[in-house]
This record gives sequence, C-alpha cells and structure tokens, in this order.
Amino acid sequence: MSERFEATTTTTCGYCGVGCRLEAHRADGRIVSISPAMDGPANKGHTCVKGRFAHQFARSRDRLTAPLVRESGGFRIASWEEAIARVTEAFTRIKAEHGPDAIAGLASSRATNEDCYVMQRLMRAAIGTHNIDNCSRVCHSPTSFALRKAFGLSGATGSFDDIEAADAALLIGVNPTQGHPVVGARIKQAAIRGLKLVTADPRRIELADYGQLHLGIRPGTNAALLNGLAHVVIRDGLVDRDFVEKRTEGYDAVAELVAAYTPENVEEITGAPAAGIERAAHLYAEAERACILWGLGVTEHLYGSECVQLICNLALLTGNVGRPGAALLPLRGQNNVQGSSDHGALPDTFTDYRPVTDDAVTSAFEERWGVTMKRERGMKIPEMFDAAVDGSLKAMYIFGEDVAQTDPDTTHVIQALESLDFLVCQDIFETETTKYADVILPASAFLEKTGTFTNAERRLQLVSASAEPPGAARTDFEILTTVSRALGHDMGYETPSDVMDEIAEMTPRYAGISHERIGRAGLQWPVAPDGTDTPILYTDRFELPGGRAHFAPLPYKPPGDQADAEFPLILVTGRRLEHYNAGTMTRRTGNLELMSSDWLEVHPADAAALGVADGQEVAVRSRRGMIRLPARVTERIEEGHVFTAFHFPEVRTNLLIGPSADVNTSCPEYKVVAVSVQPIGAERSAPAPARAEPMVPAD
Amino acid sequence: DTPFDFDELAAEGCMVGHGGILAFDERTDMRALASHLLEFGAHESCGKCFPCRIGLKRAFEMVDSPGPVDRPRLEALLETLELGSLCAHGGGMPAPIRSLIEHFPDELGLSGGELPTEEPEDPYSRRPEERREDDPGDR
Amino acid sequence: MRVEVDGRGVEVEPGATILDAATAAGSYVPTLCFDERMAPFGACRVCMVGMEGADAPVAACTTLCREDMRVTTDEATARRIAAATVELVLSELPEPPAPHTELARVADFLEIGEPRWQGERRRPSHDRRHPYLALQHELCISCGRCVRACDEIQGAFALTATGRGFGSGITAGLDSGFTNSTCVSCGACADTCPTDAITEGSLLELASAYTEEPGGGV
Repeated sequence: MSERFEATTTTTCGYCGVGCRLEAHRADGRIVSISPAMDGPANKGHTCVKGRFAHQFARSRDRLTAPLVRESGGFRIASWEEAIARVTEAFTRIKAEHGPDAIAGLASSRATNEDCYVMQRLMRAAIGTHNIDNCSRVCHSPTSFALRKAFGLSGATGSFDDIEAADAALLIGVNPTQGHPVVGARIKQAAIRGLKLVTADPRRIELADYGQLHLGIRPGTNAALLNGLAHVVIRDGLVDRDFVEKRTEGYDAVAELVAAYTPENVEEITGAPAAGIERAAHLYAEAERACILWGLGVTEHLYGSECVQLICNLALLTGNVGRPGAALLPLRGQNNVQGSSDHGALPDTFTDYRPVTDDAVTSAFEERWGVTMKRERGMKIPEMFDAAVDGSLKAMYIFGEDVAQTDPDTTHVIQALESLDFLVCQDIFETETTKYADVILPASAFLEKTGTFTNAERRLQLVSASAEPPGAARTDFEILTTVSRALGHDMGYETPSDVMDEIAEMTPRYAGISHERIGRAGLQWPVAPDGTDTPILYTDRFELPGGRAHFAPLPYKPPGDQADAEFPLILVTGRRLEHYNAGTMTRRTGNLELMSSDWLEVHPADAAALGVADGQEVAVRSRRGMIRLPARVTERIEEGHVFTAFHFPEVRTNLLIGPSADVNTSCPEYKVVAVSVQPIGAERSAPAPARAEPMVPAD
Repeated sequence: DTPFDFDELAAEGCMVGHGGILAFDERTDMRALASHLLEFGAHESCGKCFPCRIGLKRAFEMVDSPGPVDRPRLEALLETLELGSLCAHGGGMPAPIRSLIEHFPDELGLSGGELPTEEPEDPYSRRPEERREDDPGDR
Repeated sequence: MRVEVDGRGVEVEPGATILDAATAAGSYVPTLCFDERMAPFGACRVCMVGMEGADAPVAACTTLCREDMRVTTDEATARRIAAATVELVLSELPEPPAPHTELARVADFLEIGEPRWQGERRRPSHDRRHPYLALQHELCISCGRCVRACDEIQGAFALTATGRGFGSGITAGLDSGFTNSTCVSCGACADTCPTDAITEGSLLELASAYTEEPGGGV
C-alpha cells in the first residue's frame, strides 16, 4: 500500500486514552491518510472515526503559526526572540518582586511525557516552584487517588488483553463504544464470544444490548450499588477467603459496613431491582476471571474517589486482581492523562508519584538539576485560580490547556486570568484562554512531535513526527527547553529521548525505559533495569507497606445535587463518538458533517409529561444557568434523567454545572445536575447570558 | 442399455443426481443445451466462492456467443470449477458439460483439439504476452 | 503438532490452519478473502495448496492441520486453479486494480496480466455521501472482508452482502449509504478492502492525479 505515499510514520493516537498505534501516510508533503498499525498492542489493527479520519485539524487555517504578543489591546506577530524575551523578563521580574511561588504552570494531558516532564522541570528548577498541575485534576484524579490507597500504584492493574481473557466484566459509569471506541469494540466482540457483561449506568448504553444484565441506576448512587454488590458477595459465600486472608487488610470493617446494604435497600437508593443486583454480584463473583471497567461516570462525583475505592473492595473480595483476565481498568479520557501525572506534572509529586515532601527524592532531583527546592507541595489548579484572584499568584504559564473553556466555575477562572500580571499560553489554536494572554507561543500537534504517550494500560508508546509544525510554530520540547535556557536553566537535552533517559535514571520504577526499548511494542511500567515490563500488577504483592491491599469501609452518601419540585430531572453529561471534549480538534474536521449539533436525550414518559415532542427545541434550566437545544425522545435514558454531551460550545452545556467536586481530589461533579426541561414555546423570555462561557470537563 | 444405478451410471461418467431423467431427442441442439445448463448454473450460483460466481458466467458466455468454442480454455475453466468451487454446485456443474464435450464435440462447435495429456501447456500459467500469440480462441 | 510445508517442518497448535502453518514456515500463500483479524471465510479459493494424500488441492485458510501433514504451496494444479480464479476476478472489473491494492499484488504474484475473458463487466456505481468513506461498487469482488470487519472487528453490523451469483456485491445499511446506517465510521472496511471498493475519498482524489499516465486505463 505504500507506493501511493512518500513516507509512512508509525505513531500513537492523540485522542483518547486507548492508545491506538497509527500509521500516518504522507503524500504531496502532507499527511493524507491515517490507518491503524496492525501490531498496535491496544488496537490490534483497528481504530476509530477520530484516530483514523479526524486529522485535518492539524492543517487548519486557524493554526497558530507565529508567536503573538499583546500590544495596545490586541495581539501582533512577534519574533521568537522577542516573545521569549518578554516571557523571561516578566518571570524574572515577578520572581524578584514576589518570589517563585507567585508563578504557576499547567502541563497538558494531551502533550507527551517528555513535554510534561520538561514543563515540571521548568517550573521546579528554572522558576523554583512546585506550582505545577495538569488537567487530570478534572477527570481521573479520583481514580489515581483511590488506586494508590487500595493497591499502591496509580494505574490500571492489567491490560486491555485482560478483557478477552476474562469470563465476566462489570462496566460502571462508562460508555466505551462512544468514549473509547476501540476498547468498546473489543468489549463488544468479547461479549459476542461469551464474555458475561454487566453494565451499570443511568443510560442504557450500547454495550448493554450485548450484556447479560443492565442495571439502570440513578446518577450519584454508584457507592450504594457497589456496597450492595459486596453485600451479596459476602452474604452468599462468594468471598475468596484465601485471597482476603493472605493479601488484604481491613475486610472485617467492610463486612460490617455492607451488612446494611441489602439488595432491597440498594434498590431503594439506586432504582436498580434487587434481583438484578443479586444476579450482577453472582455473575461477577462466580466468574473465574472477572474485570471491572469504569470511567468518568464513577469519578466525576462528589464522592468519586470513594467509589473507586469501593470498586477495589469488590475486586479484593473476589480475588479479581493481579491475574490474567482479572483486572481493574479505568478508561482514561485523554491520550496522556496517565503519563502527564506519572511524569511529575503535579504539585505534590515528582515522577512515579514520589512526594516532594520526601527529602531523599527532592534531594536527588536537586542534585541532578543543580537547584534547591522546597519540601512543601505547590498549588492545585483550583488553588491557582483562587490565588490569582486574591492577588498572591501573579503569573501563569499555561501549556496546551483551555482552562477558560474546560474548567468548572468559568466566571471565577476568567476573573483569575484577568487578575494575572502576566500570562503566557502555548497552544496550537487561539482559545478562550489565549484571549487573556500576554504572549502566545505557537506549538505543535501530536502528529508533529516526538516523544511518548502513556495509555490507560500504563503502556508507554512512541510518538513520531510525521509532519512539520506549520509556519514558525515549534515543537513543545523546543519551546520549553528554550524558555528554560533563557531563564538561566539549561536542561541540556538535545532530543526528547534524552529527557526519557533522565526520567529513567531518576525513577526506579521506570529504570528500564528508553525510546529504543519502547520500540513498536511499548512498555508497561514498572520497567526493570533490564527492560522487563509489567502487563499485570500485583501478581504476588501490593505496593503498600507489608505488601497487602487495603479495603475501605465507605458508606453511600447522596450526591451534591438532588432533584426537587423546581428541578425535577437529573442531567448527566458525557461524550459522543464523533467528537472529542471541547471539539477543538474534531470540529475542524469532517466529523462535524457526521455530527453537526447536539441534542438532549429524554425518556418517552418524561417527554409525554413535559409535552416535549421528538426534535422539539427545549430549555434546560439548572440552579446555575439555562441552555437550549433540541430534544430526542429515547428509551436509552432512564426515566427521570436527561443526557447531553459537551462538545458544542454553542450549546454551553456546562453552564448548568455547579461548583461541587470530589471530596479528596477536587474533581468536579459533572455527572449529577438537577434540571428542569420545558418545550421552548412554554419558556418565558429568558435571554441567553451575555457572556456565557461553557465549562467542559477536560478529561 | 445402462441400468439406472449409482455404480453403473458413475461408470458412464454420469450420476443419479436427484433421480430425475431428462430425455433429449436427436434433433436437440447440444450447444443450446450446454448454454441453457450453464445459464441455469450461473443464475443459481450463490456468489460466495469466486470460481463458481464468475466461472459459470464466463462458461455460459463462451458457449452462448457465436463462433467456435475454445476447447482447452473451456476445459481449463471446468477444472477450475471442479477443483476450486466451495460447494457441489460449482463443482458439479461441469459434469454435464464434460459429458457433452465427450459425446458431442462437433455439435458444441469446439476448436483447439484435445488437451495434451502430458506436461499440459497450461494457458493460465503463461504470461499474458505469450498467451495472446497462441491463443486465438475468442480474440 | 508437527507439519511440513514446502519441505520445512513447523510446529503448530491444534486448530491451526494450513495457512497458519505456511505463514509460520515462511511460505507465502496468496489470498484475497483472508484477513488475520477475522475468522477464515474460504470464498476466494486463491489460497489453494497441494496436500499429500489429497486427490485435489485444498484451501489453506479453511483446512486444519493434521499431524505429519505435508503441504506444497506451489503445487502445479493448486497454482493453476488459483491463477485461473484470479484471472476470473480481474475479468469482472471495468479497469485493472490500482497498483497499491492487495488484488494487484496477488495478480502480480500469480503473473496474471490482462484477463482474457471478454464478457460482462461490473458497471461503475459510486457512493460519496459519507465525508470520508467512498464506495465504488464496480471494484467489489465480494470477498466479504468489509462485511466481516464491520461485524467481527468493530461490531457495527452496518454492511451486508447483497445479490447473488455474478450480481453479488455489498451495501451499507439498507442501500442507504454509510451515514444512514449503523456505521460508526471506524474505517475497518476500508482498511481491509483488497480492491479500493471501499476506500478513503481523499485518497481517490490523490490517486486520480498519479494514474493519469499512458496505459493507465483499459
């Protein structure tokens, strides 16, 4: 097939966390086609409408092709020298006047591991602050928190191959055929071939049609369901006694707690029938090998991190961890949401989640980089915005993230950005956030850079440039290292591969990682010095003191928002197949032709009660705001709930969403919002907000 | 003068099939019969395997079009059907045609004589430029 | 178990096909309807090989290995049948397959040039309603790979085999095109298609520029 093309480059997809390996084909000096790599470990010769087709955005006329600097209320094109001089001058001045902690940086979960590592080194070593975070804050930070508490490490316990090896799988709060299409296809095929699938979601997701059982639960009641499943497992003698005794701690407290979660009580809370809860528990616990997969339907809640701990409980009760076909697989939202956090773009940890409070770790980095650093953690994203508003944070370096569009409480975010003395943005397009910048640096898309992404299986895979950045745009690696050098901290890297060598040198669990070793097959961390990687974690011990996993006795607590007389329906938001997050990329491709607008899914009974016809325009109100969009009447959504996606800024779905967030990790509660729905004819003349900024979860 | 029995018919290169007997008198146009059989066969082909799906159509076209029928090509095509087809439809359709070739070569308007018995000069294994020279059949 | 392919012994798992064994032994067997990501189909009859003790060639993709089986991939009769079949396939098409296609490669391997059959050919019929996927029905050879990729890789069940005999083909949805079917635009059909009957529309525009050369058409 190669004759048609001048060159073909194997790289890794920059959309979701599945990590499809792709072949990018060039002709006429540009990428003309992308096809799946037949040997991709996660995609095995398959990919989806985004990875395969949605690459035109990289050649869009809207791409930033030259540095821009603010001048008399607008922007003008500047040379790289001038743009970087402005950044250096501002950071140096602010650091001298207010100290390094008056500056903060955001790394991007869309960027490579090397870019994220260089970004955190820039903040920590060149500027001297731990004020560095990334957008996993708003999606799977609860997963990371809980997995570390229960098992020790922040990542899936197994691999996607465990799906095919499993006899049963429980899917909770995740819709893979839309959000993670290639894994969705793998699950569907496995189910067709006999995998016993149980789905639990407020929507009857497509995979429910291929499963043994679907539990239509009320949003925000995952904890009750999970404790109910644990109750049945214990009540009916399905506990793996040997595993619990030898490898876990804290069983008794959980057994005591879940005693009250009888199927009948849980039916009361969740709306799922008691018999279904019993059957689901048996399907999962009686399988020799069973997996649990979850997504943002578990994490983006007030108690999201606790729900992930309850998922871990279920796996521990039945010994379904650390064996082939018995994995816990969080489906990570963005291509590198795993890797950006693994590689230290967090305010409290260096690589491999080793805390800055650990003197030995910080000392080692001080020695390596020739700097001194504090032993106290820096600011998380929400704290940065608070500090900007109160005046203690003066400058930000935002790399590959549109916070004014994607973070909750948008008004507050914009106020924060406006309060800053100095803002530098590094991106591929002008965004809502760059409007507030003083300097905009034109960066590169994933097809234009070299490095690695880490997928949802903890697998590092190579990213190889198959196109040049447009115009004067540069790779993020080049920009960040240049800025660091200008600030007086020369990192000494020539290529991203040198960065990975340093990471491996500084991080025992990544010791054997190098670009050369990653090759075409990838490497799943931990990687031993000899290059042996780890497809399955915890085969004989957990990474906690004593090697034992920890049960967590956590009760169900109601979500942050509740339906009432004024707002009688619950809104759930999520993804659709054709688009991706705020649509920055997919809306600049033919995918817009496949799906050009959004709709609100309404159950037929609710539609009848509200007098809403299929296709009719409706007004959706929450305690926070109002949006309009057409309704689609469907039995895919449970009665009493409505659903829409968040890909279309003009719909402004996230105007409806409040400030509620996960108790442990500040991950916003995007999944439970009480709303009212009215046909547009019956709506009083409520003008759309003058300045309406959508808040989109940037998972 | 042949008993209607499996072995006896098989010895004559024939078969019992569904048990029916079609009688043709001496005025029957055997080429038209071959054409009819192949048209029927092509029509009944399910289309899954390639030899049957295309081969029966081509065999019909060969016999149905005016002019002499290139016997080596027809027999090579029948072999492809016999050995290549997925089921007994494509594999069995050549049987009556072979019988017609054997018993009514002149009425079928065959040309090109017998296939050599040893070291067959197989037209399919030759390069196209070679084929054209010594393959006047339907060109 | 142990089998011998072209004189080379290989170990294969029970349930392996002759094609698996040939691949393991490093012997190339041409195929048109086979894709390793999907179950064998046995339709194209191009993977015919000689098997010791068998009175006729067998299809390598659907014949299971047996202990001590001896296989010759380039056995004369088998290759004759395979080549004749591919020539028949080429005779259906209104134009020779594009050089990058799997069909062109198989035809090249079996040294088949312009087909000698002068009968009916498939008539051009294009569907360009989808933003990415283009259907060119006249190039369809009914190998069923797209239908099976849609079923067995993606699970969208959007493509269907239609017609029978010489009129066989495929259709998206109920002749409603990709966009009005259950298609999820994954492109698995285009990836597996051996002829460009389903391909990426933008590549057709690219190709039209470079096939404009003398002798490019029929």
